Amino acid sequence: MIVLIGFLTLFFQILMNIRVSLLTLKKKVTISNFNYLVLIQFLLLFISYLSLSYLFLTDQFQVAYVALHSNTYLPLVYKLCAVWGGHEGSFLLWMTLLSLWFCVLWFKTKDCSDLFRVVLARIFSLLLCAFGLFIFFTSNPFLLLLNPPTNGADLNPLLQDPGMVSHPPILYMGYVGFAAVYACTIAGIISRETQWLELTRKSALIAWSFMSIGITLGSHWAYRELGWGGWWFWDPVENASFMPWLIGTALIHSLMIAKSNKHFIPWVALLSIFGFSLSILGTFLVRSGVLISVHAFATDPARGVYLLSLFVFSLLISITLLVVSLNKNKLIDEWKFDWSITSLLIANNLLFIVAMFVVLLGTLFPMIYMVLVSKNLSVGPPYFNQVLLPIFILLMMLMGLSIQFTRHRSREVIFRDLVQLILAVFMSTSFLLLWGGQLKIVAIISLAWPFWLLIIHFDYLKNNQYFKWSALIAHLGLIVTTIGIIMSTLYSDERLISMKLGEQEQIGNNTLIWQHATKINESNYNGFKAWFLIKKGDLLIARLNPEYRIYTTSQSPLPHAGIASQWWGDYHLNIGQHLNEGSWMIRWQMKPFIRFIWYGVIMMAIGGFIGLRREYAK
Amino acid sequence: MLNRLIILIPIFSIVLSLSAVMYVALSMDPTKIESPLIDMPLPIFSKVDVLHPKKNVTKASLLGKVYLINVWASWCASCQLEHHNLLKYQKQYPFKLVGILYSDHISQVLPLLVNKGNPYSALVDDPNGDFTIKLGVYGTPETLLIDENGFVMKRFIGVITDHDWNDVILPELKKSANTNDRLK
Repeated sequence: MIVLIGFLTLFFQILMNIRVSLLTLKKKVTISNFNYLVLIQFLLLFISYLSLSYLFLTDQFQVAYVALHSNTYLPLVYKLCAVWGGHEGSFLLWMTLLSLWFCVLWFKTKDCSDLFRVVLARIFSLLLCAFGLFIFFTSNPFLLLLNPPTNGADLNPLLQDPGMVSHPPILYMGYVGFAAVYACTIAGIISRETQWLELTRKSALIAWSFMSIGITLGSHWAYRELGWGGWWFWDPVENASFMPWLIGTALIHSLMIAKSNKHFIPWVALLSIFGFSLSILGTFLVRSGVLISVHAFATDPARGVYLLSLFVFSLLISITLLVVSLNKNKLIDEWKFDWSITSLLIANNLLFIVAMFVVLLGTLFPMIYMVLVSKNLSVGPPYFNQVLLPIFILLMMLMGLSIQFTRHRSREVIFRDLVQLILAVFMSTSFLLLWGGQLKIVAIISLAWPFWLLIIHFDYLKNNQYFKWSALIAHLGLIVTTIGIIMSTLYSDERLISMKLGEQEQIGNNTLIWQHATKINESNYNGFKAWFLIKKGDLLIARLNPEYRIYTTSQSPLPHAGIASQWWGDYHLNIGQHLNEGSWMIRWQMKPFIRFIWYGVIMMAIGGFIGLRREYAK
Repeated sequence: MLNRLIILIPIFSIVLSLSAVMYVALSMDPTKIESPLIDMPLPIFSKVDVLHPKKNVTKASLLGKVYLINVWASWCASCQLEHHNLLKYQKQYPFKLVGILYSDHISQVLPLLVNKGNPYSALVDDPNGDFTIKLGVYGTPETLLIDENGFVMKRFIGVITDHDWNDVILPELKKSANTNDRLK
């Protein structure tokens, strides 16, 4: 019954969107007709989504999707999250969020011209149709099984984590937001509505901020759960989200110029088209199985062909549209590099695009190589780190420069710049001394960068009556993240120890004590929980509880890291394999300032949300 | 107008050729490629075993039994998938597996083996990729099936699958075990 409701609402939603897109093609359109249609299409999809959730909650294993991704022993909250634990449900969530964006944008654009709203509705309904048909034909979550199993196959143990609750929906919100940015842009180009830049800016900020949070949550999740202490793996799935993020960052910056300088509008439009296309391309790469990734989803070539054609059509059509609608290609003719803020922002944009192409190349290269040379290979972090590091150093220099160059140049100012640089080196040295780490030349020099930026930002704050809180907070976030990356890369410590219950081990200045262990019997896994103490002399520094879990359904062991956080960083303990007679392989790690990486990105996202409040028009 | 449309030509060609590549990639199975290395003897080598630093792995010490050489790295996503498979196969039918670490750091790898389990009987570090190139291996993961006399029997590019294991590797391992039993 519920299956039928879910399926039919999905079906009618697709019909509804076909109707909306047909209506927008009519010569004479009555705008008020749309209000109900837009609302109803969202409600239908929402009901469809709710019914899938209900099927999971009530363990309806006659539904294939539920049987594959759930289990009666699964805790309640993971049953709800299992809805997006697989391909079909993920797409249903994707579509629900897209239709939510449609609904919100539709009612937010009441004072825009009719043409703009009609085109907006056309693009959204076409997108919803495209994805609706995709779900309907290649990935229907409501398919029934002829011989329903008595119990489901369980959700992948790696996904049974609090990260699963928040990471996917927030990240999808970002992905889908780029579709909204795209729709606003195309509608704006076609209708020449003046407000579209502001709408694009707001959607871009929302999409970018959600994406930042989503990526951070994913990174933190991988750090906790994959259990080997890294926070970024350059995995195709991570790259798929990183590329639109880079473009989004460029877009947010270029929108600042576009407001005052109309020649930049084509550039902004190009970026939003890129952002959307990369979202689709990312989905294609992840879902079609052309690349091998640790995320390893079930794959299907038919889905790949569909997504690939969607990518090609949307990209080519919108770029053609953009080129045709250009009045004159003034951007290239009139622009010359001077040291103005505009030029620096353009340089920023170009660097972001270059970074995006570097990531794109690294992600696609194994596939291109496979097709042309018939050999398989992996492109790993060595490539990404080496190529991207100089680009990011340049970007940070630009960030500092562009804030400096809002002032006049004079001898006094140059002198002050020098003082700032020396101050930055001094600050990085004293920071290291205060924390009590070993003084390394590399560390002092690389830390001087973020501190230099920090000084520049405060200098700017002091000398300017008006400044943008949003940009300031986002930039501070980047500084915090950079400090986190530098410190955790240069000062991480890692050891392997074999220990028995009750033993002690000396690690540097610290003593690690294994106090006791307790049995765990959860509904979805069992194993044991170990109780460790870290002491410095007699001073208790941290308690750690790593767990050794064996998931009941799949019988696969999955260590759960014990993490103790200090304000400055993390201690990390992992229980590995059982060696002999009660002694276990224990991995100890100290990750200084690793939390700063995530705190920084959250700050960037907060900056993005604050940016929603104000208008840039001067 | 025409000038502007000319801009479209390179864009269209790039996007279309890229998607053509992706379309072809969709229908390809990346794991099946024949190699000229087959039936050639392995080069003579002697390397330190990272897992047992006092022992050396040499070509001579490995003769007499069918074994596998697996080239991998901790930064390679496909190898993570393969790792899981290798562990499973070791459980099913224990065999000799020499791992070669391509362009990697031991400190990255040991934790991985501790957390996920270790399928390797010996592990050779090859930080610059010299040894890997000597073996004629191009990327990770790649696996060579070596016979009793140190000749390459088969080469697997990409992740070893259940199909490779059940249809090719396992029969060879069993055959070799039988001959060894008979000789005794």
